[in-house]
Amino acid sequence: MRTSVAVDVTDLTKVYPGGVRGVDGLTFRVSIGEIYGLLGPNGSGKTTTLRIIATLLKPTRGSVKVFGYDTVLNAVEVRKLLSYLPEEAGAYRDLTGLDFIKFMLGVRLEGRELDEAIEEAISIADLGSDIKRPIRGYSKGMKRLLALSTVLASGSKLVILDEPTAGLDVERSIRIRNLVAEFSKKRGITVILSSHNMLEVEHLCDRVGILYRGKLVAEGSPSELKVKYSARNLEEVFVKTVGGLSIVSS
Amino acid sequence: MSLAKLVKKEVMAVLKSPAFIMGLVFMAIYFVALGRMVGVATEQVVREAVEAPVGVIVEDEDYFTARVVYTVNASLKGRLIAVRTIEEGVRKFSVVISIPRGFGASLLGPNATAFVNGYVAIDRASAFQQARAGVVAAVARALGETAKLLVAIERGVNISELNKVVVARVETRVGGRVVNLEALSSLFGSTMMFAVFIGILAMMTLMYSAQAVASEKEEKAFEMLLTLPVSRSTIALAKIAGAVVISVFMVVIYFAGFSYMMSAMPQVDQTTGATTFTWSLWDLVTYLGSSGVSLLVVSLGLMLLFSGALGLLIGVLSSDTRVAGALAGPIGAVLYVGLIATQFIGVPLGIEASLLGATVYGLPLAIVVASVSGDETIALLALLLSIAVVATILTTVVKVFGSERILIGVSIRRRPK
Repeated sequence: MRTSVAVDVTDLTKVYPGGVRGVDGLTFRVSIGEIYGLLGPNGSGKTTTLRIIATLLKPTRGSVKVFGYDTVLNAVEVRKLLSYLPEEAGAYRDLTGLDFIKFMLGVRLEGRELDEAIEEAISIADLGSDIKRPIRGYSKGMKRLLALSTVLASGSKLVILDEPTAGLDVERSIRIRNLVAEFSKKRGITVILSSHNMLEVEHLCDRVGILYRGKLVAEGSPSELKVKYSARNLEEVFVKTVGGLSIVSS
Repeated sequence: MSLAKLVKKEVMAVLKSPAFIMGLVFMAIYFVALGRMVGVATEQVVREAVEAPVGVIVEDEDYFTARVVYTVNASLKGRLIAVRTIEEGVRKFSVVISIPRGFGASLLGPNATAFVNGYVAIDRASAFQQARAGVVAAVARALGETAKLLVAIERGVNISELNKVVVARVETRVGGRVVNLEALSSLFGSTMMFAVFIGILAMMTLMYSAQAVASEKEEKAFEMLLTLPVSRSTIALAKIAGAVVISVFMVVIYFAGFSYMMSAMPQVDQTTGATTFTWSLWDLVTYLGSSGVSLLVVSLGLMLLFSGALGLLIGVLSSDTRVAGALAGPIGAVLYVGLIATQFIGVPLGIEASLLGATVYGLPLAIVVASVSGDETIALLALLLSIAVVATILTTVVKVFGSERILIGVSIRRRPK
């Protein structure tokens, strides 16, 4: 299936049991090789959107296509094309970091391809001799890098990162940002990421979608949005888009 | 002081868990009901041994024999009831004693041994059933003692100088077939021990598979696993298989330890008797034959699949390992105790035993019942029922794993109007 669109989200609505609306009529497209950022406050629908794209949740209405494959009808095909880093990605406490890398990549790859991917993941994680220690002794940052290493080294065409730097120190956050940018540029992979961090999104993303209460309230490249809303940075864009009072009340 | 507060927090965290409370209430009700059922079964056995009527055919026309039987019957409060044929007696009373010609003459000798023939019908698969043979032995003993007493009175001799023994030759029948009582005893005992071990195996599988999902949720590794390019049914089956492998490994270790402990214990010379508990897995294999053993292996596989699948469902419903443990523990215990208690309560040796298949855990017992009663239909129907139940639970697991409920859980909140 040849297409220039990596992710096609059309009229996506998700209503959870109990009636809570996760996303409401969301439509956007992500081109191949693009880094697309979803911005928004807590509860705006970022994680719900990413989980639907990653085939973890099913839309109540609308559709999501990944490289032309429907996430509901062709879930396994979609999973072959993507790797997902959840917001609170952990790992099996009693395995070593190396065991975890081997397991996560071993399901996707085999032979020489697998060996190369493992080497690459070890290099990305950069955990030194700790890679052979059980994960239960890892810090949050170490676990995050370990999980990210399996996502980036998987060779997937689409990488979904939910708050990739949340809760990490500045040094590790910068390292992760650089890795994402480097892999996207070098491998031509498509990245969709969510973040609260406007600065991070502004520097990393080609295009940004601002979500508020499940709806897409603004979309464009950071520079386009700044011009459109006469703002100095994305924070100001965000405030002008959703209104300061609404942010406080949310 | 701080320790007390910490302990209080630990206890309260468990006590306030709805899963724990539900499990506690359920376990209490279950064990009370089960205790009552086992109690009734035990009372029935005791009643049979002490009160139930026994059919008697007196072929010996000797006057002394008539006096001995009359006296024994009086001491047993009229439990001995004359029947015309063995079949009639077995049908009516389950236990029949036939006193052959020459019985009285044999007993009138100085140190005599006489024989009676006992016919016992076994109509339930139960660890207690062979106690019926004990009734024959008890009546035979009473006949011998009474004969001694009457001879001592009539001849004016010291009773302790007399030695009169009545030996019971017992024929055990299941349906219309004659079976070896010792073999049957060993079969029921072996079935019980088999149930003990496979019950442990099944319970551990249930626990491990429940923990497998719950701990993955706790470790926050579940979402990454679910986005790997494999079908959800493969993930579910892998978890069941993993739990089975670990359980088998653990039970092999336990069994080896148990066998060593038993072999290291001093051997006690057990008295032989109808109610002696004997078991040997080899006896089970010999009695059931190759087809029965094959069915037993299949039943073991079905039990493990059932336990693994049930464990996964518990794991999916649980938010963490604590809840999973609080749910899987009582459910596993209920299944395990039910499996063992069924052996005490007993199962009718008829087609109704095939219903055991619906519990999956009861399938091995249904296979034994089929073998004892010589009716293969029982095993076949039970097997089909078990397959249907296992297929249903596996389908449910695959559906649940394929749905988003696995992530967002099961909500019992009402929808807002």
